[in-house]
Amino acid sequence: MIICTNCQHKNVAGAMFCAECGAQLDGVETLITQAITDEQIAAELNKKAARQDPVSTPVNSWISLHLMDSGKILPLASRNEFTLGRLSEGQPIMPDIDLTPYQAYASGVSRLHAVVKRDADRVLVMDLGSSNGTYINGRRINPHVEESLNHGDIIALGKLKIQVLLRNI
Amino acid sequence: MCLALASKLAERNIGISGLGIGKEWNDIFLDVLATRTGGSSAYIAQPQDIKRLLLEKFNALAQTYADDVTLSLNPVDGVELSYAFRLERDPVAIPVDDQLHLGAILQDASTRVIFEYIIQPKAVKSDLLTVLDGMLKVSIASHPMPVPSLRLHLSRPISDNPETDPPPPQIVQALSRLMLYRMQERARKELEEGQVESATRHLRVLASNLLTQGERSLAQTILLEVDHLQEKHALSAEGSKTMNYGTRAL
Repeated sequence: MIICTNCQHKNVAGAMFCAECGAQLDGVETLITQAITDEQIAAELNKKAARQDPVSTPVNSWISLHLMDSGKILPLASRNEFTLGRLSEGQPIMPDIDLTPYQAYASGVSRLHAVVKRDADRVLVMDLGSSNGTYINGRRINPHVEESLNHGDIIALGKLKIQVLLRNI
Repeated sequence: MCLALASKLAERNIGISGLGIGKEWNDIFLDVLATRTGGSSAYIAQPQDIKRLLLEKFNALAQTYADDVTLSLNPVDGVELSYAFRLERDPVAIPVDDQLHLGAILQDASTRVIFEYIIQPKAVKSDLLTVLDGMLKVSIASHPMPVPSLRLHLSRPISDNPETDPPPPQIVQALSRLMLYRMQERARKELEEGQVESATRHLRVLASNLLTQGERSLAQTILLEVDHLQEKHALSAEGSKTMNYGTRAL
């Protein structure tokens, strides 16, 4: 048996990908080394400087938010807790993740709507008393009560749907 | 009755290619019908696709080098062929049977099939394990005489200290894509068994995997199907076909 380090599913010996979550299983090496020239390195560095990759993930990103309506993916890093909400003029407290550019107002996102945080090996979400509620996979959660999130879950802040993409925690 | 007829056609080296137009048709049935003869099915979402697909089919017929390519398998104790998938050309899952209809081989083009085996410990009787033992039968129109069947024998060495060389990247790449196709197969099967929650979960995981592989449009379609599933406890006619053929085409 091979146990997937991502979801702990038991896979048959010899499997390369987890049948439950699709993660590549340990022991499957896919990197092939190849010689690259100094010119190739310089060209790649120049390309990176000019390119703004919207999907690049910071090294220590443990969660990405896929905004489903726009298709945008927001990788989050450097902290264990992020508030989600909408900036409003004159508001003294700002959310860590401002969803204003993603139709947050029209979707009924509150200024401080919810918080997503990492606690040891769990990821949790909590509604901060929003007007239009927070939903996990269609189920409305109670305000100020932490609920667990799994990779692939869809949270909705009002009508704004966000899919949660977790890296190995 | 249709499937029995398809089996008879296969015996006479007649292939079936299926084209499903619109939304209201049974893609699973069409697949089974076509693959019994080594053929494949295609999903036509827009009428303008019909001409393109038909041209592809006719060109393929003109370029056929060998058809009715059939692999007859002899049973090997402790070795079970659990899954077969034709990667190239016309990706499709091949029904697992004693006779595998692999489709046609085109001139100057490769046909690639991936097999998944489950090997029991009892199959290991020496330091060499027979994985496949069978005969490959082909029909080549340009040959005046029938081509004799080719004996195929695939074996792998068994060792207490196996080599740690990584598998070829082409195989890993193919498996990573095939995993996505099989995930939607699994979700659809779970739905048939009434396991809506499990199917929903697997479709979400599938969408996540598609996103990480850059298949954003298909991921969006699947997430819409998840919504549909939660409301109606069923997939939409169009969405399920897009999911099936979209993951197959990866």
